[in-house]
Amino acid sequence: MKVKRLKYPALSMSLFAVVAILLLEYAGLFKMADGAVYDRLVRGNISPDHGVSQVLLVRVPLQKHDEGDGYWSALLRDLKSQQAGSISFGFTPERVSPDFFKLAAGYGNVIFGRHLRSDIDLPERLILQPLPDAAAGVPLQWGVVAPLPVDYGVSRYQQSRLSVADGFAPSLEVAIAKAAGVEAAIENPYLVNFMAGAGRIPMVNADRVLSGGIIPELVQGKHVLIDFDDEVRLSRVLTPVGGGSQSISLLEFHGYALNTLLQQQVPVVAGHLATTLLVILIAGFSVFIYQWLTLRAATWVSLAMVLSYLIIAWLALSFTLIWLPVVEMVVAQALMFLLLYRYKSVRDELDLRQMALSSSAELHEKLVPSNFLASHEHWSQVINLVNQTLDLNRVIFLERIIGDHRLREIKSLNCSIDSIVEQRRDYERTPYSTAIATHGAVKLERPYLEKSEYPEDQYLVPLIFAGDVLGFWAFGITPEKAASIPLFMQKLNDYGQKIAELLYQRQQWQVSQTEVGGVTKYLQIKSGSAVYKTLLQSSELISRRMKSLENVFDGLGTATALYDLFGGLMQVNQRMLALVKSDNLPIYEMTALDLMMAITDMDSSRARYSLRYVVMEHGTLTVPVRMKGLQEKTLVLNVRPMIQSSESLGGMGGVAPFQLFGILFELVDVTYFKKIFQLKEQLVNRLNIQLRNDMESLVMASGLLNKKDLPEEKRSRVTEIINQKVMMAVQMMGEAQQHLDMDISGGPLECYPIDAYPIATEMVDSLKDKANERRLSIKADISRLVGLVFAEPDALSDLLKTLLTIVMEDAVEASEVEFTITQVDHQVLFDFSNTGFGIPDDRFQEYIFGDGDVDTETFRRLRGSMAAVHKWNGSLTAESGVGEGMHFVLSLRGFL
Amino acid sequence: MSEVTAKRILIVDDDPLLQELMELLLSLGGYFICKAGDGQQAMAAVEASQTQFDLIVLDLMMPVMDGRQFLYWLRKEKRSTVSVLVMSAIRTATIRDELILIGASEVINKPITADTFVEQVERLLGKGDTDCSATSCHSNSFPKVV
Repeated sequence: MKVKRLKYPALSMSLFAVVAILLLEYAGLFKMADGAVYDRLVRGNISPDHGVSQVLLVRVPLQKHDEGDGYWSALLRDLKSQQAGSISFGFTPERVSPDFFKLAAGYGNVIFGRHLRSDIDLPERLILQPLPDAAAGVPLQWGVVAPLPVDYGVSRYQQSRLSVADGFAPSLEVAIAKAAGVEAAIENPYLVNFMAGAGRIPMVNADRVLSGGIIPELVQGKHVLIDFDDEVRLSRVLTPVGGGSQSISLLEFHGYALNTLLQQQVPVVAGHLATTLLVILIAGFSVFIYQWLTLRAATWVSLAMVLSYLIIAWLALSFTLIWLPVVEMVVAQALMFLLLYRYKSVRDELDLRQMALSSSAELHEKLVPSNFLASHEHWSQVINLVNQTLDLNRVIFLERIIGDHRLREIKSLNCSIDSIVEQRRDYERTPYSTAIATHGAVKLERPYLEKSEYPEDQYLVPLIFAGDVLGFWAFGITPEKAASIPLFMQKLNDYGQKIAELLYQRQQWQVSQTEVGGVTKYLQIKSGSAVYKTLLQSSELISRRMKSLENVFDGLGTATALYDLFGGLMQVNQRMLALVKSDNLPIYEMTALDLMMAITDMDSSRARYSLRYVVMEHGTLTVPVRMKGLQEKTLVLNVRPMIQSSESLGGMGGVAPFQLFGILFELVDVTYFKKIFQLKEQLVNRLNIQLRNDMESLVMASGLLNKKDLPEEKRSRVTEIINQKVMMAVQMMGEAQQHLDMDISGGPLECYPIDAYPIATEMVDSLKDKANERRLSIKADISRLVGLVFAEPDALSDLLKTLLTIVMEDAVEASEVEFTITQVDHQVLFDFSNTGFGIPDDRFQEYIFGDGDVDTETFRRLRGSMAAVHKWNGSLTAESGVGEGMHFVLSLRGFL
Repeated sequence: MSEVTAKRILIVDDDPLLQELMELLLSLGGYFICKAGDGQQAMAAVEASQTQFDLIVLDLMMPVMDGRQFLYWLRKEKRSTVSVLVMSAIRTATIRDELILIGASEVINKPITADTFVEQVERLLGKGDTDCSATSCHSNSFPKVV
């Protein structure tokens, strides 16, 4: 699959994030969230330190709406007399005379509010409420009172100017501020500063003013805003500080808006340029930082960044009255996080897919060789192999038809699918269901294959691979043949597993050959899964292959450990584990060097040199092993390099250390071979002695023939002796040669000319402690000069030990046990006797040579050894009598 | 010239042909030869002999009783001082040292030539008269050494 990758993903993602956020901002999608965050931070910023209100609100009950000059002029005069900074009406009184307006104009700092209303002719057009006729010709100051801008139910802004029919007119608050001499370039609309908190603008009733119930300080210098308080809930507004039931009245809102202007504390909203810069900054920072972080770390960093944005926004609002686009910042951060980690995830997935693709292709080719599967002959080979091995009468391999309950024939021998009884071809029924449930071979009680001419048992083996039933293997076999094969059912299951694996590989190969392509593949949504499926199959196969290799490694006849190039243990088989366990060597904690030093006589420098030789020169070493726990065995350590095949090296000339993929340590048990060579060495030595003897005769005869004074008849005799000697030597050498030529790979020795002296002395030594327990003395007269005897060393040792043990056990305490070896003619006699209790001779003979039960272990062992004695053409005589002790004579054939 | 009684030599060897050859060879030198086939026969010959042998030529490897056992008996039990020439086909220093320690007068390795053998015999001979009765002794054509 071809994968298109971005050239500069960081740049692309940053650009995308910036553009997306700006577009969303322009679309106003952040407005609600932005307002909510603003309200929350304003509430978090409420403090009385935000200045003393310069505004006094005078609330006029709504029923005073129709009052005339008397009421309004009195209110105006009272406020003027208390030196109010300015007096503003949120409306223009309508039932007053021109005198009232003249009075107001005369004061100079009285401003009237004019409401906007819909044009009668064009309702969607707003027009200014006309001034009353009484005000005609009077130069009044006024400002516009318009409905409040509302964002999702919350009023945060007030308009600084409004569009009217003949242009723009200032809002009432701006008109008042301008009249008070506060000139500031403010945006339209502008944010009302509520950070002084709710209820911070003083408000009194008009009646209280008229009754003189307020102190002059409350009015003096303050900008008084007079308006009706209708007490109608609908006229109340929600603000950042007055949410829910704590909404404020419209009059209060105007008070806050006016106070914001008079105190020149208008919060400023960061513009689009600032927002753009901030988002770019965040995107750039995110690209940089996220590249190095794990997903988990990046999540924490993102959360920290978001928190920091909130804190910065709060601080900025609190100290500089700048409102930052905190929502845009948070969204930018989140977007970059999502984009980058999605990209990384996709990239990792692509890399994995790529790796999976190449690995699966390589593995598949190795494990499922297509040329083998494509061959029409391989099932013939398999069926023949099975048939030859198990000697079956007839055999058939059946394959499941996917999506059907029937089976089809893969290959058969001496039968066909038609030979299967008609009612037994549905694999959802017995005997198939039984075989599947058994998960192994079943012997069929009812006929499966049609009756044959000869008696046969029929078997059905399910072919299951990786839990899937792929088919069945059915066959018939003569009952006697089945009975003669050891572990027959187990063998069937083993074969079944192997055949199932082959069948699986074949099916996979067939699927790959008929796989749909092009648009169909996409329509079936098969494109993506193929790689993983192939990899899964290959993994399954490689896992099985690995298991097989491990079993092979474990099953090796030699104890083996495989080390990597640096001496670390890669694999060790059971035999090696058993051997090193006998010496308590912690092989898993040992390097190749450690093991070499521990089991051989090599010191550190020699072992290092040897390993270097194997690694650098790719040489092979064989060194004798010295293990305390294995002194009875003779082992050699083979160390050899495991070199990559020349094919995998791509035809590179020469070898280098890194072409070595392991160092193989093999502990080879050569005990048997050593024994054979020792025996042959003994034989050669003895032959040498004999030849020297014979040579002596020849040399002496030769000397005699040179004697001139030797009488003629003696001379003839000497010649005759020479001939005899030569004949004897030739015969002896021929006989010896037969033994020397013995094939050492021909299994255990049963009879060979051996030197009995070391065996006998070692045996006597081994029983000395036992003799001491009963204060027995062993009088051993063993001549080292007796000839060789025909026997098997270990069996002879056991036999001698048994005989000596018997006479020792029978001996009177603190007596003497005698053991002698003598040679008489061509027989070597091993004589054991004691001063012992003895038993009746007939019982003694029965114990040794009879068939009845014996109750002692030593006599059982002696009986067991008698077969070997006969094999050696030897004989054992035994005699005993009550009070006479026991006497054995083992007579073995001598040689040389 | 005075007539001197022939020296008596006991040849102990399990090889009758070699015994015969040695007898023939030594007979030429005028020695009186007795023969024994193993250590036990040699013991009998020594015990039966009224006069001590002048020399015993002893083979090492023999059945029933080997040369080493006989030599041990001769020196330790019989306390005989007769010269013993051991002829051994086993060429190890250990055996040689052991035999010398037990009391062998000389140990020579087989094979040796007839002349060397005679030289060794002559070197070791030179004392004692004896007679022979228990074993096969031959003095036919035995020359008198003057």
